[in-house]
Amino acid sequence: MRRVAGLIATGLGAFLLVSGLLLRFYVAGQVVRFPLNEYQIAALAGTDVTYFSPSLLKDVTGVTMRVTKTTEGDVAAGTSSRAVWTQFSYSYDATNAVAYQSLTQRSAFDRRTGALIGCCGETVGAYTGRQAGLAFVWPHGTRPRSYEIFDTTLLKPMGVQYAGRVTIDGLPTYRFVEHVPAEQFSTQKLPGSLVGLHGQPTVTLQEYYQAANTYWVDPVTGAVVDTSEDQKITLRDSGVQRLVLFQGDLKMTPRSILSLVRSNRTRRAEIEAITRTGPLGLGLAGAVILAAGACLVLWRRKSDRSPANTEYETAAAAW
Amino acid sequence: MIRLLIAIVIGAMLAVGGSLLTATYLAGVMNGPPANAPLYNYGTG
Repeated sequence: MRRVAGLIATGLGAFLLVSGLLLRFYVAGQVVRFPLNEYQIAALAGTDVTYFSPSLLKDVTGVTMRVTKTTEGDVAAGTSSRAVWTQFSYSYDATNAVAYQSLTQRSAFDRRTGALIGCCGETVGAYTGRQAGLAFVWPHGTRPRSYEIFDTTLLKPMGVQYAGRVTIDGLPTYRFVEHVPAEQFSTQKLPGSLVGLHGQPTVTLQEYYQAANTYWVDPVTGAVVDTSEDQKITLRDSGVQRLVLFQGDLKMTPRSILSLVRSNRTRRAEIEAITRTGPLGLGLAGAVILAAGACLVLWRRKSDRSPANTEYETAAAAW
Repeated sequence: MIRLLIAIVIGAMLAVGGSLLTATYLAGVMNGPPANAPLYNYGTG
């Protein structure tokens, strides 16, 4: 009876031990992926924002700007390894109650690493070229190192530097900063009178962009739970600033941060259950039960080798 | 000793089979349409 119990315990222990290992090294890799059916809304706001109003033909200063970013997954375009999400950003001048601008970004990315993939009608506004780097999400198991993110203004990947750990509402995050020194990315043709060059009917000026964009990322889920965008876009003439097209420091609203952190916490718990607590629990329980079962079986065998039993075994063998 | 090894192999094989089934089921749920893919729908609101 003890021997049977030992064998059953051994089998159960092996089952639990191997299940723990497979859960960590196989099941987790198959299951922990970014969703196809994402839907989230995040809002950013900034005060004392300056922008050039095309309708008023002048800079508007000291306004409160609100940016609403709605992200939605295109389930039909996704596969087991690829997700396609579209983000619509709408900027609104809350002080003067007028729309400022909107931008649509559609990107396909790897469901494990978050790296952009060139396919599926990727666009950023009118740009339909190749996208590279990261966009909406960061890798599962984000590390404290530099990454590249696709900048939707420069339309190319830019380096983001790791800048320390920050806890947001109890959630440990990594902070990454994208520093963009003033860089020309386009040219604009406009009336000279608009930029103080009254002698010229039209002038072509260089459009410059500089920014310090900050991302707070949950390293377990790869989700961005907070962002801030300190950006300046200017028109320059041979290096001399002629016009400010946009200048402002936009930060995610506390309500959006709270919402993102709360929903991310559930996902984090699921991933940790699959990659850490589950395998650890199964592995430890399996190892203990396996060892106990093996001891029961082996101990029984040892006791069977008493002189009386050896005599019996010899007789049985002879018979 | 042989029975001990057989018990370990049976337990390990059951674990492999169970893990394959679990991974297949969960991956199918995640790759399904929204109504059938409730996992990891984070960031709403």
